[in-house]
Amino acid sequence: MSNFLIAVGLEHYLILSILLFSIGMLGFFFHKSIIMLLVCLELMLNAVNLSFVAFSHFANNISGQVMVFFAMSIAAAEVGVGLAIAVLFFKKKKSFDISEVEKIKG
Amino acid sequence: MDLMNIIINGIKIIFIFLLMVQIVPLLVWIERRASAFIQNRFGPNRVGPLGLTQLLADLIKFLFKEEFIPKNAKKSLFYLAPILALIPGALAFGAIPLSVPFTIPIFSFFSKEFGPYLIEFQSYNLHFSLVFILGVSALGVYSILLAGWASANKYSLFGALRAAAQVISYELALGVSLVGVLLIYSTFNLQTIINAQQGAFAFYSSGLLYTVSFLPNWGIFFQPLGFVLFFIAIFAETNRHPFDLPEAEAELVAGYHTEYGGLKMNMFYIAEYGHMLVGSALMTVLFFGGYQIPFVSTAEISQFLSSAGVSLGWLSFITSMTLFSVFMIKVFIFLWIFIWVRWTLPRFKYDQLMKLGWTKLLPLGVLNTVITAIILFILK
Amino acid sequence: MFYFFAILLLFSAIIVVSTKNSMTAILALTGTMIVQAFLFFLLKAYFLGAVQLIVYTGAVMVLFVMVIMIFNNDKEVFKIPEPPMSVWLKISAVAWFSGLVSGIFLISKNSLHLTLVTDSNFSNLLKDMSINGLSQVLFTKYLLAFEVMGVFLLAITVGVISIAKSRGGTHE
Repeated sequence: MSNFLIAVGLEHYLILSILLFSIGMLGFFFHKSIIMLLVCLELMLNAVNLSFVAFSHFANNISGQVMVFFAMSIAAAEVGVGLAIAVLFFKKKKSFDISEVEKIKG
Repeated sequence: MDLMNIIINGIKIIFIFLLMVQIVPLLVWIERRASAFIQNRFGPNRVGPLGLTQLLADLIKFLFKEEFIPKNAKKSLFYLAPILALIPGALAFGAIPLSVPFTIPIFSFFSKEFGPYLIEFQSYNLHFSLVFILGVSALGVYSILLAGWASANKYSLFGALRAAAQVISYELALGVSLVGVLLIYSTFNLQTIINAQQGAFAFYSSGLLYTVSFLPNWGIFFQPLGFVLFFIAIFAETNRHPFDLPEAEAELVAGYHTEYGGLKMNMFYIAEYGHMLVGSALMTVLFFGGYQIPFVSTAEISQFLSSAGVSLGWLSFITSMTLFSVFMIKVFIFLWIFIWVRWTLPRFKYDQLMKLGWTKLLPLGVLNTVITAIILFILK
Repeated sequence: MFYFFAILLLFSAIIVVSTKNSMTAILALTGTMIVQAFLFFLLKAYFLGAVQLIVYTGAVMVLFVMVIMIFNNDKEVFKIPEPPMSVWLKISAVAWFSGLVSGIFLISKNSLHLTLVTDSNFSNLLKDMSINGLSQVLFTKYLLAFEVMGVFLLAITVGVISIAKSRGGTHE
């Protein structure tokens, strides 16, 4: 037990990553505002990035970092599009409530 | 790394931070005097010699001002914003090498011997310092945003939004204008970049070395377009004239710090001048040879000093200090240009600013990158 | 060092999902990003840490903050009535987290003994500066992915501009 606490290895980063991911997931289920959904999505993406970098460091393989690089650029693009849609949606419905999306037609 | 080494390094870091903070009052004084002379006035000239202690008097006034918070302000964020303002500038300035590393020879302290230490004249030498500086100074926008948001004031909010949009737009142009420099020196480490700029202008072409003896080996001669782009973008990044739309008096009262007074507003001032300082230092390092004296290499300086009778123990320290003063002279020239431009040019309109950033600077930066890459490929 | 950053990270992440105020959530998320950048530095992924600072905290989060600022003028917008959480959701959340925590204790008793496959071609690249290694892999092995990424980003740019140009229903 004490050895586990002192020597920080891959498992620690994976545990941290999965905790972060589950927090994000929980937020994703519990929130109703579009903005908050995007925020929780970012949290989950970050958790995955962390696990990628941890794997890359402990496996001595740099490909994991390349994956994170791609994930980051996609996340940035996703936020851009997501926020643009949210703003448009707000202009139309005067609300960020995700359940309003069901009522959109055409 | 024994305890003594850690202590010396700690003192060094504190010294560099204080250096950054202490240049600010001097700069404020220079700014006020310079603006006065440009506009044919006298400026502050009563308190102390040449009005130099005017800032001390101002500080005392600021200290005794009433603490004021608007009624609807978000209290915690309102206090957090000025504190956050200082951090990015200080972190970024710490990563800039101010002079060559020097060695402290063996000395005894409380009858204990302490071995020779190699002290680098910067808070931390990272091999990715350039990206680090860009990343950290990107955080500077948060204090502005928070200040504008927490003040619960229309003008503050507008100032903050303008600042955020401006900084994001020009961050791109800034980054792209630096790619050419990175291609040429193929490193992110600022010390390596400075060391590559020693001596006279020289370049390799298909294995042969060409030298142009009347030009120093500075980055600006390799990257003239890159320098111009960087120069413009850094003005926008630091929210200085002619891009100081976040605090345009005519439209927004005082922008994001409308509701701030006393020492809290002083923090924003220190942050702004700190960003200016980082910008000037970066320009010096990347395009004007950093702490190098033109045409003279570091080895020649220490040779000259030793022939002038400087003892061996002090040699590296004095060399380092000489180069440090050279660096500061260069930085102050750029700071002077910042001030000079502020009192000479009129302010842009906001759409002009955005148009300049996105349709002029960014394509030119990409063009610069492509041209540099092609030329490097041909010369190789 | 790891524990300090880990606790900070989890703490700010919990603030993100638990707070009612969107602005607080976003600031906490910014904190999460910064702490994660430092975790990247800890894992010797220096370039990624710096990119994390530039891209996430410098650009993405500023976008969030700006959107919140623009639309917070009428306070009612962000008070979306939270529906009463279904019992099953609550139970499953509690079960999920208790499972995770017990799993952590199990791992701490007898560690996982993960065996990792090292890529011999690129393993030496990590030893020198991570930027050089990263770029070497990025422009050889993953060149196609990189190019696709560029095209993808171009498409995104066009899409966002077209969204922004459209009147958005306010001027029907």
